[in-house]
Amino acid sequence: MIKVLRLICPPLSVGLLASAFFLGGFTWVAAALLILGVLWMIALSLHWTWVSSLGLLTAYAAAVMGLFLDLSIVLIIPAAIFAFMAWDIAGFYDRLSLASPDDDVFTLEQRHLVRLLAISVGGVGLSVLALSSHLKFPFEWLVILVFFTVWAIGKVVGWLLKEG
Amino acid sequence: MNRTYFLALLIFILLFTGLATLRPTVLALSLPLIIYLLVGLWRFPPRVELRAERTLGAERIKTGDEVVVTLKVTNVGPAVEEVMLEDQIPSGLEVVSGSARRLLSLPANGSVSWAYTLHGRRGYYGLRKVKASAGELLGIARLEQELATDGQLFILPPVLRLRRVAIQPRRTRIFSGTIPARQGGAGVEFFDVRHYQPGDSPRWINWRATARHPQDVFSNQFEQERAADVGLILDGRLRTNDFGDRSIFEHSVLATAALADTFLSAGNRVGLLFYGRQIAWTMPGYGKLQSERILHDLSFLEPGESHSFGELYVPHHLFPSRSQLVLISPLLSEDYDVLATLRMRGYHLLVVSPDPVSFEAAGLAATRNNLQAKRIIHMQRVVLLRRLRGAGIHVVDWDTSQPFEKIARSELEQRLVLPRGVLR
Repeated sequence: MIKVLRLICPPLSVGLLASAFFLGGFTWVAAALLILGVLWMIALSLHWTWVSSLGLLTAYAAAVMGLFLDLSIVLIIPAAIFAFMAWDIAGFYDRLSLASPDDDVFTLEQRHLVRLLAISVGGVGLSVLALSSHLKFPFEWLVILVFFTVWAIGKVVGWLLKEG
Repeated sequence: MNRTYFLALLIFILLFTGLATLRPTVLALSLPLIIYLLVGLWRFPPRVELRAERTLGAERIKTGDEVVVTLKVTNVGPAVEEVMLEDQIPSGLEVVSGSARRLLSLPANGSVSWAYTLHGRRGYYGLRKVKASAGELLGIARLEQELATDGQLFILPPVLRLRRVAIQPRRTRIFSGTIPARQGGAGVEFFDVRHYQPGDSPRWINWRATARHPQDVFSNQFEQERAADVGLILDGRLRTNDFGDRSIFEHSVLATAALADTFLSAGNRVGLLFYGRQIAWTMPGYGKLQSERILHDLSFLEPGESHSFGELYVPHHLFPSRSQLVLISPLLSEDYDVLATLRMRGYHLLVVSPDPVSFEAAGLAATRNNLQAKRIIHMQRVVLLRRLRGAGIHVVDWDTSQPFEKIARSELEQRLVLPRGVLR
């Protein structure tokens, strides 16, 4: 299952992004993204582990660019989610490749995928909720909220790295 | 880049971009990533407490044999969703079957046990650590630990069985053995004829001598066979043993193990002196225990260079004068003086020399220059060996492409006949 998803998620992400750009009239960006997708797949087949991080970064950059260009959110957000799933699955696949033949890889795969699916669905749901709720915050509140989020994430990362 | 750093950086960039451009859609993009990070934090085990136990099928094996390693890891702390357990195998050992690694979940108080098979080259190996890398399922952060275990493995050199090694030192011990002692007494080989003495077996009467002298009765005397002191000296100097990525030292170790076993089986008292980076000394002793002791010490030894002992060095106080010394060395030209001095001091010397010229040439291309160089060095070696033989030293030139048993059978089983004029 993981092997299939590892190969499906990158083309899905790049394909959705390319269609968003193509529908917005940016044909050359769509073509560039498709080429990027092909390179991503080649790198995956060569087991270049760092490529999934680069793919995630590029896909998110393209998604942000698409949002600035007011392209279809329905295509952009799932594309970003698929890129994020491709990144996670690539990391998990690398860890699984170290497992011995006696390990219960199937159960590990199952648990991991259930959690990833839950996070992805939850993330998309929350994003859709946030975008559809149209809450009006004063700019000062927004700044404070974002700074608090950044501080909290910094704390979380610091803690995780200290523990790890 | 670390996965956590990378993810955090991406979230920060998205948040700042969203804030700077006042685009809620960009902020919304970061939400799945934030949730992912928070879930990682939530599921991360507060602490990891694992205990490892190791059982080895055998602590001492011969080169080429395999040993089963069984590991049991118990989780005495909270449940761990994903843990990678990896036995730290020293270089020189290789996994033959099974795996030294496991990837699994460990519930609280749960345990996992698995076995795998190792083999390796001669040496001593400490198997004392199991690396554990624990975390949650998403792999956001890992907690790494080294679990201490007990375990050591000696891989002993193989022991070739030689029929006998003929040595005849001037000095023997009082215990019976197999070395001719140049004294009449109980034995097998004829030694002398003497007047019949009360107590002599009638079967010992030499009828031919008695017939010539009708007034007297003569009986045969046999040569006593006793145990001797044998000092094995193993040359571990780097410059005599190492040839680029190949070393002739393993051949020297093989010969030493075979000789030690043969001398000890014949009831002799055997000690081992090794010099390479340092001097290692196995005190002389008898029997199977000593054989095991020597094999055990041989498993440790590696060639090395010492500034103090660049030349061949034999501590005289460790070997009684007139005893038998056996040097196992590829030899250098400058070793002649040391060996000749030892011979002059009354030691009986047997030199088993793995041929470094043919050994090195076997790893080189057969170009004209290489062949010419080989011829020159070979001639130098022939001259050195001839000089040593002229000094009354028994030299066995061992072409390592031939098995040692074959060389031992042809050159070590027969007593050395010294050239005329050379003192025993």
